[in-house]
Amino acid sequence: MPKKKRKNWILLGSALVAAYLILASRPVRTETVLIPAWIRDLRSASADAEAADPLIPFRNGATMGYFDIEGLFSIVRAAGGNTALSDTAWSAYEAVPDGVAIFDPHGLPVAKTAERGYPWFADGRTFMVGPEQNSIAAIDPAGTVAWNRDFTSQITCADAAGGSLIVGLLDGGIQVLDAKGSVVFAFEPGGSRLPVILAAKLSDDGNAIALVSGIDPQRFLYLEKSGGSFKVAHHEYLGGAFRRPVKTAFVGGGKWVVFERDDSLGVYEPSTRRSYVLDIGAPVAALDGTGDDGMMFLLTAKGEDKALVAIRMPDEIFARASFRSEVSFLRRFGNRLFIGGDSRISAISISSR
Amino acid sequence: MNGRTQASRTTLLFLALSAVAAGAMDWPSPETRGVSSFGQNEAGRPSVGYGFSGEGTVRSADAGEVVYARGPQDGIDGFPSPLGSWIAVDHADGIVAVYGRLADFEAENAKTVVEKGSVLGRAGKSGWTDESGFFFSILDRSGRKWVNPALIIPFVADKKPPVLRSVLLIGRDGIPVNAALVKSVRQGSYRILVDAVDAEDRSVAYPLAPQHIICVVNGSEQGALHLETIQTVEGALRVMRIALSPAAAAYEHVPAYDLGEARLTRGRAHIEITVRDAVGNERSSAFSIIVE
Repeated sequence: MPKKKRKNWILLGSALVAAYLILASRPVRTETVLIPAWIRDLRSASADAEAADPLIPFRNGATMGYFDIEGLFSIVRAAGGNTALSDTAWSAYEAVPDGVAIFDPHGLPVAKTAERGYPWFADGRTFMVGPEQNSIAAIDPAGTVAWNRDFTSQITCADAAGGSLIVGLLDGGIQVLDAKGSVVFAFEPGGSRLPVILAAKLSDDGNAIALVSGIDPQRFLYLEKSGGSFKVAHHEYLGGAFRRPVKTAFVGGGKWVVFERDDSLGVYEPSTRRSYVLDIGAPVAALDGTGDDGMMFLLTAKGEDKALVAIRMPDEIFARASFRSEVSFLRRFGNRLFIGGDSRISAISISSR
Repeated sequence: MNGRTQASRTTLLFLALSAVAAGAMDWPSPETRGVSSFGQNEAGRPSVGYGFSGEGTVRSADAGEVVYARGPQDGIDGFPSPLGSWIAVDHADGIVAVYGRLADFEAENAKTVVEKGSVLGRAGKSGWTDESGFFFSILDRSGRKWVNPALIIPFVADKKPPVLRSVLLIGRDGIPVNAALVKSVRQGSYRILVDAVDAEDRSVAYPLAPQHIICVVNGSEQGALHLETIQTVEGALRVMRIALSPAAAAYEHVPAYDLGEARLTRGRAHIEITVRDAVGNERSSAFSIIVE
C-alpha cells in the first residue's frame, strides 16, 4: 500500500475512534447509596420537647405520633381504634364521636368541630366524611362547616391536592370539587361491565387526575386539565381485577404516575405517553413518590414478608431489601427515608456519589 | 300526583317486580334486629339504609358479584371509612347492595361471585357504630338513587301500625303549636311537623321511620313524605314530599319530619295525618282546628 494511502487509512481510523469516544461516551452514572441513620424502638420512646419541625406523622400498628428528622418524638401514643393523621393535624376519636378535637403535630389543640362524621386531613385542610360515607364537609380553621356536599352513592376513594378535592364513587363516577365545594368536573369512565372507582388521585397542582376504574375490564386512566375541564390523555386496560381500593401515586411532582397491578407496578410517563410494568413480586403495601430526584420507594407485603423496593423512574428497580414484620409504614422526607416495622422506626439517608 | 312522581313510582314498581321475579331478595341476617331504618331522621339527615344490631353471619341478599370490598388495612392516604369494613355486591339490573360495619376481614380474600345466602362476613363493630351489627343499603345505580330495602324485601311478620307521636304546626312566627291541643290558629301558612315511628314486631325497642306520612287538609293533600327512595341532586340529598325536595328542609326538626307547608284559610280546618309502614300497616289521626 502506498505510504499516502496508508496515512489516509490511519487518519480515518483515528477520526472514527475520536468520533466514537465523543459520541458514545456517557458520564459515569451516579450511584445511589442508602445509609442507615438511626433506629428508634417505639416501646421505649417518649415525647421530647426538643423535637423540631418538620415533624413526620407515623402510625405503626397500635402506636401513632410524630417524630422529627433526627428521631425525636413530639408525640408518641397508643393509636386506639380511630385516628386521623397528617403532616399538619391529627385527631383521635370515638367510633360514634360527639364532636372531634383536632391537634397540631406538637399536640396543641387547633380546633374542635361538632360536624358529624370522621375527620380526614388532606392538602392541609380538614374534611369530615359523613356517617354513611355519602357526604363530605369541609371544615374551616375555626371548626365550623365551610361547605357540605352529598354524593350520588357511597364514596370509595378520595384525594385532595392543589386546592381541589376528587371523590370516587361506588356508582362509577368521579367528581372534582374546587376549594369552595363546587363541582368543577364530573366524569364516568364507563367501558366496563361493572362500573366502580377504585382509585382517584390528583397531581400536586391539581392539574392531572389518575383513576383506576371498573371491573371487566379494569382500566387505568390519566386525565389532564384542558381549559376549565379535564380530558382523557391516556388509558390502558389492566389484566387484573381489583375489587378493593387501589394504591396510586403521582411521582416527581407529576412526571410519572404509579399504580398497583397484580404483583406488579404500573408506571405511566405523561411526557412521553409511555407505560411500563415493573415486576415487584408482591402486592404494594405503601408507596411514596414525594421525592423530586427521579426515585421512588415502595413497600411490598405478603403476610409478614415485607420488602423495600427502590425504583429509579420510570422503570429501573435498583434496590430491594426484605424484612419480616407484622405492620409497616413508609415515608420519605427530603433525603431521608423512614421505614416502620413492628415496634421500630428506622431512618435511612439517601445520597448519591 | 305529578309526572315526575308517577315516573318514580313506575321505576320503583319495576324494581320491586324485578326482585319478585328473580326470586326476591332476603334480609342479610335474620339473627339481627333493625335499629335504624331507611329515611330515618339521623341528626338532620335521612339514613340511606338500615342499621342492624346483634351478632351472626351477614349473607348476600341475592346472587351477585362483589364490586368493592374494603377491610381495615385498605385505607389509602388516611381516607376514613365510616362504613367500617364493607362490601358492595352488584345484584344485577343496576342494583348494588352495601353491607357495611362488618367484622374485620381481608379484602383480598373476599369472594368474587356470591350466591343468594352466601356468607359475606359477620356482624361487627367497625365504622360508625358503638354496638355489634351491620349496615345495609341498596343503591339503584342506573337511577342514581338509594332504594328503601323494605320495598324489595318486606318485613312479612310486621303487623304493628306505626305510632304517631306528635303533630306540630309552625307558622311564620316560628312558634310551634300542637295540633292535638290547639283549638284555633290564625289564618296563614304552616309547616307540618310529624313525629312518627314504626315499631316492627321484632324490634319494638328500636322505633324505625315509617315509609309514608301524608297530611290531608279539608280533603286536599297538603303535605307528604314518601320514603321509598332518596337521591342526590346538585350535591344535596332529596326526598319525595309532594315533589322532590331538599332533605335538609324535611329533616331540620329532629326527630320529626317536615311534610311541607299547608295553607290554612279562614273557617274550620280538618287535618288528617296518615302514617303507613312498608307492609301497609296504617294509623291515622284527625284534628279539627278553627282558623281565624
